[in-house]
Parts: sequence; structure tokens; C-alpha cells
Amino acid sequence: MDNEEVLEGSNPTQPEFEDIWSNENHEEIDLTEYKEIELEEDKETELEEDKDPKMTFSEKRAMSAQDKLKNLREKVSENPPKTTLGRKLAVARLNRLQNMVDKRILKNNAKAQAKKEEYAMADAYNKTQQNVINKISDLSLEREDILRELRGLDRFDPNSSKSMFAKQQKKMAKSMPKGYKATRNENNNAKVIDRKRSLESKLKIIDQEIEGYENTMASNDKAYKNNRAEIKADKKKNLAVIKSPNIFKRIKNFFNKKVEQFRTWKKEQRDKAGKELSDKVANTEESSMREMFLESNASNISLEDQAKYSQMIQEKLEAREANNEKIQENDKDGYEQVD
Amino acid sequence: MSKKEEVKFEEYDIEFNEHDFDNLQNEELKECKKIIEDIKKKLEE
Repeated sequence: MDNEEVLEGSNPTQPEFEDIWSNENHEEIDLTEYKEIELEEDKETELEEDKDPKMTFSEKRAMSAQDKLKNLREKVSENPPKTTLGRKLAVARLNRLQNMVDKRILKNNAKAQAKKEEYAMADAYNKTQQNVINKISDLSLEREDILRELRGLDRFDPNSSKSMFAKQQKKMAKSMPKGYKATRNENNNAKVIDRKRSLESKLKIIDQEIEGYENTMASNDKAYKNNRAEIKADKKKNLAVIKSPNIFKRIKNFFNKKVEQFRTWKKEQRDKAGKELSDKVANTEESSMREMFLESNASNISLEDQAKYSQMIQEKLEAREANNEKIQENDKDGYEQVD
Repeated sequence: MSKKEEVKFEEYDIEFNEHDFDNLQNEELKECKKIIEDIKKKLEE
């Protein structure tokens, strides 16, 4: 097909194309079902919109519980229970409902109390840490003052390499005539050195104090974090207890029951096996013992061996009988003779 | 897990469970208690 033919075939004015696009030949889609669904959705939306969208979840829940109660109150006024029993039952149910509400109030109070304690703990922690920080800050300022003074004294310290004044003094002392002593400078130098030593020891003490306070802060921090972790763990435990107060007891009872059942079963099995064995032994004579033995080992043992084993069994039985007779004889005397 | 607590008033087709009162503040709960008291008074009349 060349292009012209294709174009001819796709001419929208041709009848076949008109059929597709015209409504006359098109089947109408049944929109009834769709319209019904739409109406239902609109209704639901209206109901939703009736409620104030700004209401909190709590308010919606409160309305629901209070609405139910108000509804119940109306129905009871309109149609109270006719019998005394009916009234009593209703009152009993209302008491249960009251207990539910009381339980909820207690939980709310406990929650509020816990929250209060948590805030108090956080507050105390913050105050403590702030006090420590203030002390560190004061000590740091004092430290700075000491360092400043030390830097100043360095200029006059004859032993310090930074002391220009001291260098000058040395130079002057060299050029001084013999015998001349600059006592004033020496006194001053001694004072400078003393003062420096005093400041340096004070600085050391301050540094130790700062370190101490920093350690205190760190341990306060750790203690606070541990307390918070404990509180969280307690909360979880309490929540589990509130939700299922007897769960641990029930689990414990369940396991104890199962252990007891197992012990009883074990004892029964043992008794049963013991009884069976003793019955077997009681009813067994020498020949049946041999037979039992032979049955279990028939395929593996030669005839010679079989004879040997049966003789062994015979000897053992005879020895046992002899021993029993001996015991019986000794028992007559009142005591047992031990070989 | 403990059994969910429910209270049913079958004759009036109304039922409550403990979760109805979750997330309510104490003021709202006190109001609920008041309504319950009212109903009890009506029954005792």
C-alpha cells in the first residue's frame, strides 16, 4: 500500500469512522450503579463533614462514650426495666461501667504523677549541672587572672627567658663597679619569685578543683541517664502488668502444671515397666530364660555357645537357690550370716 | 493478655468496652460518671 492509499483509508469522513464516533451506534454505558456508589460516598462525606473537623481525637472519643451514655440514659427513662431483677442487672452493669471509668481516672492520675516526677528529676538535674557549670566558670575566671599575673611577673623574673628587665639588670650588673650590690633589685626579684611560686601552686589547686567539678558533671549526667532508662523500663513493665495483670502468674502455673503432668506420666511409665519386668521375672523359669536369651541371639550364636550359655544360666540359678536357702536358714536364727 | 472488659446493655442495644474511655481526660471521665449516676437514680426510682 502506498501513501495515497493509506491516506485514503484513514479519511475520517468515511462512513466507518463516522460510525465509531457517533452516539447512535454506540452502546450506552449503564451509569446507574456508578451513580449509586457516588451517592453513598457523598452521604458518608456529609456525615464526616458534620463533625467538626477541628475536633481532637480525644474529643471524638469523648463524644462517642458520652453519647452512648446519654443515649442509654434516654432509653432507660423511656423504657426502664420492668422487673426488679432487670433493674438489679442494669445497676450491676452500671457499677461495672463506673469501675471502668474509675480505673481510667486512676491510670490518668498515675501517668500525671509519673510525668510530674520525671519533670522534677529533669529540673533537679538541670539545676545541679548549672551550679557546677557556674563554679567551673568562676574558677576559670580566677585561673585567667592568675595566668595574666604570671605573664606579667615573667617580665620581672630574673630566671625567666622572657624577662627583658632581668636581661637589662644582668647587663647593668656586669658594667657595675666591683662591690656594688643592687640590693633593691635583688629584693624585688625575690618577691617576684615568691609571688610566682604562690600563684603557680594556687593555679594547680584551681585546676584540680575544675577537674573535680567536671567529673561531678559527668557522673551526674550518667546517673540521670540511668534513672531515665530505669523509668522507661518500669513504664513498660507497669504497662504490661496493667494490660495483663496475671500473665506471669498464669505462665508460671501453666509450666508447673505441665511439669507435674510430665512427672506423673514418667512415674506411670516407670511403674508400668517395672511391673512388666517383675511379672516377667516371676513367671520365668530356667528354660524360658534360656529361650528368651536364645530368641534374642539365635541368629548370632553357634550351638556350642548356646550350650555354654545355657549351662552358665543353670549354674547361676542353682547358686541363687542355694543362697536363698542359706538366707532362709540364717533368718531363723534372727540374723543374717554374711560370707 | 487479660480479657477485654465489656459491658453490654442488650435490651437497649448499647455496649461499652474499656477502650471507649482511653485517651479521655479526667474532666470528661467525671462527666461520664455523672451520667452513670443519673441512670442509676432513674433505675432506683
